[in-house]
Amino acid sequence: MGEKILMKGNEVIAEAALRAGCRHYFGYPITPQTEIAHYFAKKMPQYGGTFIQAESEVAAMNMVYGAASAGARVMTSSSSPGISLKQEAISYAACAELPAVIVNIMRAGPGLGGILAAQSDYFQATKGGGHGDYRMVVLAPSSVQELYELVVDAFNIADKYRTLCMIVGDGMLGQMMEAVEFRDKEDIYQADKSWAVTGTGMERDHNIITSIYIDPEVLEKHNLKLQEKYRKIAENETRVEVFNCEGADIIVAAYGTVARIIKNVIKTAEKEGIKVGLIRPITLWPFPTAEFEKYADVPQAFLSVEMSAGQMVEDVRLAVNGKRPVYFHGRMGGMIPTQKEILEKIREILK
Amino acid sequence: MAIVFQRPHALRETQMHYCPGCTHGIVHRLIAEVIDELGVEGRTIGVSPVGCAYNNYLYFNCDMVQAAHGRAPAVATGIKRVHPDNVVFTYQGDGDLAAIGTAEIIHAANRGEKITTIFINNAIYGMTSGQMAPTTLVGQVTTTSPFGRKPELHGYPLNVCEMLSTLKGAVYVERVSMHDIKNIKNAKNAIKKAFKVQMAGLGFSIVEVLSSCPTNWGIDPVNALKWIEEKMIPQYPLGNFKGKDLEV
Amino acid sequence: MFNKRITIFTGHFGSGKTEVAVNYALQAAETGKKTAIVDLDIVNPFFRTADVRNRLEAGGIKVITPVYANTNVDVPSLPAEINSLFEDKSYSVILDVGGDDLGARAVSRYRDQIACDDYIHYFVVNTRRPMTRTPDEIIRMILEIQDGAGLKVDMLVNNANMLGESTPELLAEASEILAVVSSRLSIPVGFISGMEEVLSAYEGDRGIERLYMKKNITLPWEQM
Repeated sequence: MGEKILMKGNEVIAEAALRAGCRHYFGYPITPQTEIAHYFAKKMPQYGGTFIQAESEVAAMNMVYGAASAGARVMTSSSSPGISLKQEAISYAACAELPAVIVNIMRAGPGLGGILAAQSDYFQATKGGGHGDYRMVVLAPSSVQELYELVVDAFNIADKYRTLCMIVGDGMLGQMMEAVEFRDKEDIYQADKSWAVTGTGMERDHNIITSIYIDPEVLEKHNLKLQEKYRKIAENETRVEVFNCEGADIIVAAYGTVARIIKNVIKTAEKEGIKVGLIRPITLWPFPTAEFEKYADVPQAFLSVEMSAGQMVEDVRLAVNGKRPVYFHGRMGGMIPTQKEILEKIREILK
Repeated sequence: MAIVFQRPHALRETQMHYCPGCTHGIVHRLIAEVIDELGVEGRTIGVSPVGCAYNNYLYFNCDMVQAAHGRAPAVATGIKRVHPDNVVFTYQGDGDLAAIGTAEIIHAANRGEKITTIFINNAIYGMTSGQMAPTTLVGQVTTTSPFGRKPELHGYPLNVCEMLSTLKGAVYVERVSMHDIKNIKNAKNAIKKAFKVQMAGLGFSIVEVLSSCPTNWGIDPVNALKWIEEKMIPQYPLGNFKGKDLEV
Repeated sequence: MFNKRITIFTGHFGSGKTEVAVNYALQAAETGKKTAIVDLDIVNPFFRTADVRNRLEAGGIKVITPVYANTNVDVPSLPAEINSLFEDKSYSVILDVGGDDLGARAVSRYRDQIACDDYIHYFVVNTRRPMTRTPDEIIRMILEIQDGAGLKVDMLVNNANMLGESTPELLAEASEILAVVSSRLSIPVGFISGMEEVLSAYEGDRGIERLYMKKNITLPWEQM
């Protein structure tokens, strides 16, 4: 490991991508993630890479589609409204099985909403957003160090499975400064990209990247192949942090920066004699259902805390499957749940 | 026996799906002949549109990518930036390029993206069965302008070459037509020059091809060609708008 | 410290300018000066002076922030009120400028008023930030910021830190790097800043002034 330095979440995303071998970035400015573009704009020329500020999010994601078709490690980033615009090409890329990394530093919605932190794009990220039966791996780091590691992993997972990987963070994670330690060298998955368009060189048959299948039987078959891939990803790539859950009175589900608030809640609650556990999904898709099943009988109740109106809580309920009540506490609009209000909610549930 | 006519190598041995009298097939052939003559099949990557030509990736022997409606210039940008030494072309219709993909084509051209666009203008949406296109002529009846295109309701036809030729990044801009042999020969020369401009790294090149759609126009193929000459050319004058004197 | 009517803080974004400016303002006010702090950060909408407005105002400090600071909008409008501080010379004014040359540009529109006033321009450096790790990088950043702000840097501030993981050794490491910058640009180190517990343990640079800081800007999970 190298020396520790102090970096902003957004800078780390760009630096991690460069370390992971990403040399092509296409994006469009939107707060609170624009520092990613600033960093690439300064650094890409040093690496002989491409930085394009596209005319729109729609174009940016289609540039990603092109660069991924051409076999490159490629990335785009945006924040909620911009991610909505990318959905067209996301669905196409999922169908064409193109590997790429998309970063969503979420802001409050719906609509233009606001620039402050939120987690209200959980549904969009994990359950579609674009049209059709597709999935993408959704990684939710909770610290700047983890952000770095997951961005590198995202490129590897993308190449390994020919899939899209999305990093979701909130404005806090993108904007906050934290010490980070980079590895001297990254482990880069060496994918076979013989499917990519590079020019036939008159040595092979032509390669085609497409998302259209006019024969319904063929399209269904392609869908089944995608579903099988998603099953494999769920089997191999599900990640979760389980903390303090053995014998817990209540288990809180939270991801990203909210999980950090919960860790402090755990300390405070302990002084009151309440044992609070935390299950922190690191992959929002695939969702760590098995961990919730494993602990479903342990606490009196579950509580999902989110910066949304209650989105992940649906997956928690499915996983707990009626064995215990599942409660929800959330804030919206850029408001952040406080330790105090979470503690009050916990006391009320356990009463 | 001497071979006087054969399929260009860059075209695959497949039957095309286009209606009789449609000129898509001719344009495909011209592109393939140009690729053959320039000897670049092995390093050419084409981008297919959404529209009647959506699956022309099946017809070309080079590597092909199918793009979302209107996004071919953005997709081609991504490809070209990864493989700057390859030859990258997009093939787009008037709905694709001049309606839903207006932003993409203007900005690819404005960036001087080193790609070539072959733009098929047949004044109508073919694939979705004859709706009004941005290039539909004033008075022209389509399924979505059943009483004829009225400027006060629908605006005027969009002249793409005239518009793009105002951009510095677009270095070669030419409009050609498919309505007779002489013009088809001109079209081939224009396509070849557009490819050469790209290969010389000079910037963005586009060839707009006035084409026929007998099926959706409801005109027989011979009269469809006449319709191009008599109706379309007055609105869309042929010729070079930019880059005529470029030496490539 | 505290002896100029206008004190400007610029630096690479993330150098810790805001924490330095806030502590500087609080201590300036404690010396009995009528103090105002202006948040000119149009670059970063999060974690800014506006967050600690209450604390500053409790210290008797006038706080001026961009119109939309800490709201859900990111339009970088600057309030007209800023002009009054150039007129009313009874105030000691501290300008917390946004990061990099881009942020420094916000101060450029006031440079004529500043230039004819009694001012000092501090460049805050954290050598554990990318792009200000080496003398060459720091010098490039200073030149860019001077260019953006239209005002020369008068003094450097050694603010080497890694937030909660800061140590006196970091300050020592930065001291060596800044010595090179100082001699090459002829810009002295004006003061060293650090959290009280870290800075008091730093034995070096005894000849240089120090700003002992308290943590004012906290993250949501550090708050109750």
